[in-house]
Amino acid sequence: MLFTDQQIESLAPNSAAYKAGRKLSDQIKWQEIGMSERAIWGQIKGSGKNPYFTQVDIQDTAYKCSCPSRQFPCKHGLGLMLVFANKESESNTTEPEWVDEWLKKRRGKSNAPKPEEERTELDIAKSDAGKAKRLKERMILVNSGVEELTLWLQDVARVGLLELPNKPKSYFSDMAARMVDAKASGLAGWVRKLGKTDYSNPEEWYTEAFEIIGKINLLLKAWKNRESLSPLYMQTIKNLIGWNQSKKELLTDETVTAIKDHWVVLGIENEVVDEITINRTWIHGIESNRFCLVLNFGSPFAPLINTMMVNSILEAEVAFFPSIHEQRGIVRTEKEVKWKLPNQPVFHDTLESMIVNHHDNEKLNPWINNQPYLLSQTALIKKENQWCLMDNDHNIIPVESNFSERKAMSWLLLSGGGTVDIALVYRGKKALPLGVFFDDKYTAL
Amino acid sequence: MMDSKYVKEVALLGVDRRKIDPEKLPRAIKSQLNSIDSTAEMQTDQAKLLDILTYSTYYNNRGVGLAKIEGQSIKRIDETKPYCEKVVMDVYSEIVVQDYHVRNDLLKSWVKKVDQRGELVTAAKVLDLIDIGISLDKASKKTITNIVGNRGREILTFYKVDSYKVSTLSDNTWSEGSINDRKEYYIRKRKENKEQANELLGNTWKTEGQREQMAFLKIMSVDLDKADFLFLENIYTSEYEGELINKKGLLSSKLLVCSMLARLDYAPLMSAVRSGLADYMHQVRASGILNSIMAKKTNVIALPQTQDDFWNGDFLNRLMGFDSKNMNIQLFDFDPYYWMNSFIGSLPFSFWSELLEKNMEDVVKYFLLDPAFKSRVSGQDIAIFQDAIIFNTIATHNTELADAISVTIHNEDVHLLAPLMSQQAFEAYVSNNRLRTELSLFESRSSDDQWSVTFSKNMVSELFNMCKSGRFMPNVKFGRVMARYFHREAFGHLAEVSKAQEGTQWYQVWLSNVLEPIRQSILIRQRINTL
Repeated sequence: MLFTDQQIESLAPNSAAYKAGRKLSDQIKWQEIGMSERAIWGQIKGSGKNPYFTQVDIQDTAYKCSCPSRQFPCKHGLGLMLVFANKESESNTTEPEWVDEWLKKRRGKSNAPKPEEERTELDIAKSDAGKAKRLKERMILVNSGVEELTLWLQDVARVGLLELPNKPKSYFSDMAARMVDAKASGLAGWVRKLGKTDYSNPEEWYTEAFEIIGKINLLLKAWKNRESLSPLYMQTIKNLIGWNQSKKELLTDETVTAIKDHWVVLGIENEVVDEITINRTWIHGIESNRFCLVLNFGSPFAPLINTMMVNSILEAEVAFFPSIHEQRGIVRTEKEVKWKLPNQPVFHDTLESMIVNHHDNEKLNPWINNQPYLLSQTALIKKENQWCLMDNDHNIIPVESNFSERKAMSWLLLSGGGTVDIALVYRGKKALPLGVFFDDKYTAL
Repeated sequence: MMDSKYVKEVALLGVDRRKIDPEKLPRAIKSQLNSIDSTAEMQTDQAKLLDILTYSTYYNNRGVGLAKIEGQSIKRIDETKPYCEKVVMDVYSEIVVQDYHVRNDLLKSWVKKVDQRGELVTAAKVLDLIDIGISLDKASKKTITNIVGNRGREILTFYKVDSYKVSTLSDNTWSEGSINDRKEYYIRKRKENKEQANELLGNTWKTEGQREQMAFLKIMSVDLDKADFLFLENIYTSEYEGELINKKGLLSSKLLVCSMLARLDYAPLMSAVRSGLADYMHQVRASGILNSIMAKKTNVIALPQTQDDFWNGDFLNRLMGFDSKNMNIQLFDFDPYYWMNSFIGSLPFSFWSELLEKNMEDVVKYFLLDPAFKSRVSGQDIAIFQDAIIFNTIATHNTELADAISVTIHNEDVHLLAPLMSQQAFEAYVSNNRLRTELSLFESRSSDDQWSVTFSKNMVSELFNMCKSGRFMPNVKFGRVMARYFHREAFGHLAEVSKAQEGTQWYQVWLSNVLEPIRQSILIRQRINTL
């Protein structure tokens, strides 16, 4: 089977695009439609004179359409995939020239790294000097940002956190903006998080605020003491402060951890911050028992391109960004997409075991967040109007408030109210259930 | 979780108001702070507090145990019916992306089909179906509760509860329920056994309030049956017969009871009406040349202009529950006409056919077109009995009467009868009166209806001509409504006519608003039928 409706829906940039794509899922609307081992393609009439040429690389998911849409995949791409949804790979036709050409280009691009232009020693020296200058300038900016945030936090501590609920939004957003100006976007994120704390919840706001402030303080101190840390730790701190990690470099870097495995796509979450869409995709390597968080970003000027389908199992190599606790990574090479689990994953038997594991991870990286885990035989229950996960020992943890009622209903429908093996993300002492395992399949919620 | 009360207090109030007393800190945090203090430079109180918060965060995270729930039993709900095959669910996927007007009708048919097959919707689609099904009618919702399985029904006890309210009616409902629950219970009982339902109602009749009594009578009126006769007769003889009633509500109840008894041909009442009207029946020469030649005569009612023994407010109030006074003197110049209007609104039309010795259509023509029954209001001749006839038609769901009216007159009030007309009469009404663009007329019809092939073809041709001449352009909604009723055998005609106009300026609109929805709808209906 190529894809299911749900998986295609997970690739859609938004629900309107999916709905529009659904309307194009009638094969009769397509001309020259075909499928090979590598791709699916077709032509569809749009509002213009000529039909749009739509193609989808099904081996290394990618889309191309001649329509003017800025969404990826566009409704034609989604429609084309939906034509083939739930179908066995039956037809196998020869790719037309325009598809073959595109695929060759893609393969060429992804397999062979672009040869670097020949540079003279002088060029290299100039480039290195430029880099060093930029680094120096940035360090000055970041240091000033760290100092400013330290003072701001100390001011909060001086007047007391009880003042925080009364502060205007700008109190936090202005400081976050100043951190962005100081090229410390990681710190800006922490400040935003403090601003987004639910101050209307009298029972919980201060616990959350204390924790965020505690962690910012630790990060600021770690930055100031970075010279005494190991290179890997220093790299981790830099990333947390806001240094970007280059995906391009990671693709070819042979020194980083790279794991070939069957990776289950556990779930996708989109969060919009200041018009930037942060797309989080959690994957789990079944044999290696490793988790990886793949981040993508979209903005009004650069559309988010989602290429991973929930529930699918990618036979792929995943490379991790160097970190004291390797969590973020990218799919480096993808061989095949499957739908059935080759083996049963390893689950935590109890919440206690999962949390002990989390604390171990926290020891390595005290700022760890968005970490997924697998937990066996878990039930979803409602306690005092709050959804909770209950393990075999009848221990419970609350579920995040952004876990929608609809997702809870999906879980109950799939499990029949019984216990089930699950994947979840643990953050802030709450859990975000991602999906359930049944027999040899995984179903995201 | 911050369990240290002291740390919390200092943090909330700030170091300006609460000095940090290291002795009051948890031991582990204190020792950590000491180690920092010994190495760091002079630390301000606020910096110290921040460090305390940092340590507290991790200290507390380690220290807190998990909450436990004892006695929570986990019971798995299993299904007894099989899930739908993929081919059935594929049709569902096609349906849900259609626009609202087409979607709901197709969905109703699909839901019914799945239920007939004794299957369940696949778990992944249950919530979708529950969400979309909210806009369907009650019967379809009930079918949905069948096909979502045991798990789906369990979900419905706390998800979209109001929309899929599972009936909680029990035997106690009649004595303890709200008026709405009691009405629902009475309807259900009537469906099971009308005599038992009326026995139930009879037991509490005297304790019911006026509004409740009227509500139950209205329910009875919808599916009136011979089984209701005894109950109604009993009410009539014990409460209304011969009584002069002034209270508006009570009068309405009496009129409704009398009207129902008349429909059941209750002899004492009807013989009084018949004998009363007999004195006003006359034969006159029928109009028309042929009728003149043949010296044909026709029965008419010659109403007096003043009150007499029969056309008398008090008498008719006691007999039928009519108003004692003419309440609409603008339309009814003479009081007897006012009460005649009440008779027309409440007696079955078969009675008039018999009395006037005319078929239904002629009775309608007589009451609506005869100059004697017209009144001039604001410069216009108004058929004074029109509203009563329409009211009667709607109250008794009388298709024959609706058809007869539709061929006699046409105006916006008659549009109200569109849902009751037979398909043939409806199509004739639309065609003869050039109402092909009246969307509300089509929408008012049952979604189970289907246009005839001829009507479907004519609609296409007429609309096409209107489009060509720029007089009308079907919008999205219009096309969707057409798709609901369009006959599939007329699709060839539609395609042919459409093809001929390819390339014209308005063709794209026609294509997307009319041709495509109809094609989709027909295609999906066919697929549902073959499941």
